[in-house]
Amino acid sequence: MVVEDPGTERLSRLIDGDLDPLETEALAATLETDRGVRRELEGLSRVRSSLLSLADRERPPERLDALVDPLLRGQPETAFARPWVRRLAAAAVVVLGVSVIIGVQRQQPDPAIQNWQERAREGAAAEPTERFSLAPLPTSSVPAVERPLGAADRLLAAPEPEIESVLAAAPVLEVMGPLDTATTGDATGSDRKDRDVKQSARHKSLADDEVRNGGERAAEADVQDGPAGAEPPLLQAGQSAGRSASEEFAAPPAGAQLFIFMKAETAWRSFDPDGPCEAGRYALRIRIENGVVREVWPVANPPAPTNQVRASQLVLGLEIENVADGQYAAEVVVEPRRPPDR
Amino acid sequence: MAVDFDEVYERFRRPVWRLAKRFTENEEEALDTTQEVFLRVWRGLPGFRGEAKLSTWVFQIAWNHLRAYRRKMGRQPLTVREGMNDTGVLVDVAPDPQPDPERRAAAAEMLDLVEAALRELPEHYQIVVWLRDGEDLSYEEIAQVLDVPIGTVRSRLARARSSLRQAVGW
Repeated sequence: MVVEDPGTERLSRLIDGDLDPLETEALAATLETDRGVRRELEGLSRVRSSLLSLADRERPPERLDALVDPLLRGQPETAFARPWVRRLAAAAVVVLGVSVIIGVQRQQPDPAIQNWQERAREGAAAEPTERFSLAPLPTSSVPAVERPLGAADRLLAAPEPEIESVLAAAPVLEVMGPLDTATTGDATGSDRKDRDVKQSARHKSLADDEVRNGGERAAEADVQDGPAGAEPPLLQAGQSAGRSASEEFAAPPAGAQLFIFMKAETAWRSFDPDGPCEAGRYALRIRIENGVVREVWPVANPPAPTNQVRASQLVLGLEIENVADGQYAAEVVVEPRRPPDR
Repeated sequence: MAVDFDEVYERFRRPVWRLAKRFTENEEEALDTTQEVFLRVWRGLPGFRGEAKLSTWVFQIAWNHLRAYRRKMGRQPLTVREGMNDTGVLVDVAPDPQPDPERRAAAAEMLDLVEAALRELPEHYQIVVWLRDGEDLSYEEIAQVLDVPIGTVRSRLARARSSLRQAVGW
């Protein structure tokens, strides 16, 4: 039980020199006459000095001094601006991405994904939920992703702006495969497989393009931790990977599926767009605070005006469990929802 | 505003580690957390424009990370343990240039008691009293780190100190 006493607050503030002169004078008069208040003040002061002693008593382990990789010491701007570091980062991500694609193509789809895809083919929409948990994608079992990472490796593997454009062609999408749509709803399993393979090849090609263009695109994005970031709060567009949504999807029917990919995990829900919402992939950064998406902004700059989605309507305010506060690279995929009465 | 990462690391590694140790309650986790926090600091440093004090910014990153960690680990805020007022041991824990062994042992025992009482405080009281009395942050800085009004800092601090005082019998 935490004790509450308005008089205690004044004593506490007196210790910290937070009272104004009038308040201090009044309290001093009370202290002269009231032994109980004096004793309380003494106890509070003793608590403060004890906590200070506690902090001094802590002996950090020797490892603390060498905790941060020497690569990071010095000026961060200079270190990461080095061309070879940027090229190394891009190459590492591409190698990782290709490994994941190969690994995934060799594996059967995860049972959960398979069930979900079967349900979608049968006409059932993904379970709509306002609060959804992120579930690991099957790609998380690929050994290359799971190997222990050192500090420098983690930086290279992190979804930093420098490598974000490469990640825009994220191979994790291949695992899900496209949903059947109004225009492709009658595709057979074989057609579907062919289309998946084609899409996979296209993504790989896009990834290669991204590597070629990575240097230029890297400068477009920006991200900050902490309070210094001042980014536009709304997404107005953000077509990723240079691909028009209309290449694959017709305009969404009454309902659509929203996917959000972040940190090798994904979540999805159905929604009924109440504004202009064209199917497509949108590379975003999102800021999560207390488990809720508070800010969304596009990675692409400038946004493509012909492929707009008000992501604020779709993503802002979404609650996502078990995700630490911070900024994340995310990809929102809007796909048409198949009519249930197929 | 150019800030050298080395300087930041030298200045804040111990306070961040202390905070991490306190709120992870595990040596290894504390080191991992400290490393994570400084990776974030490193990444964010180029964008740090000095709008907030450096200490506020670093502690804010650390606390956000720790709070998420605790949520993930399912740590529940606890209430002050009953019966801690019965110790009756009054030892002056103020700095003593050459304390004799008995006195030192008693002071250490008292600090253990304060430590135990501190750990029993609900998280939002514990962090306020630690940042103020353990790390000597000002009310304004604490308010910014925790993103709460300064009045909340004052009241939480008073309640936390009062609870600790009663818990150890002062």
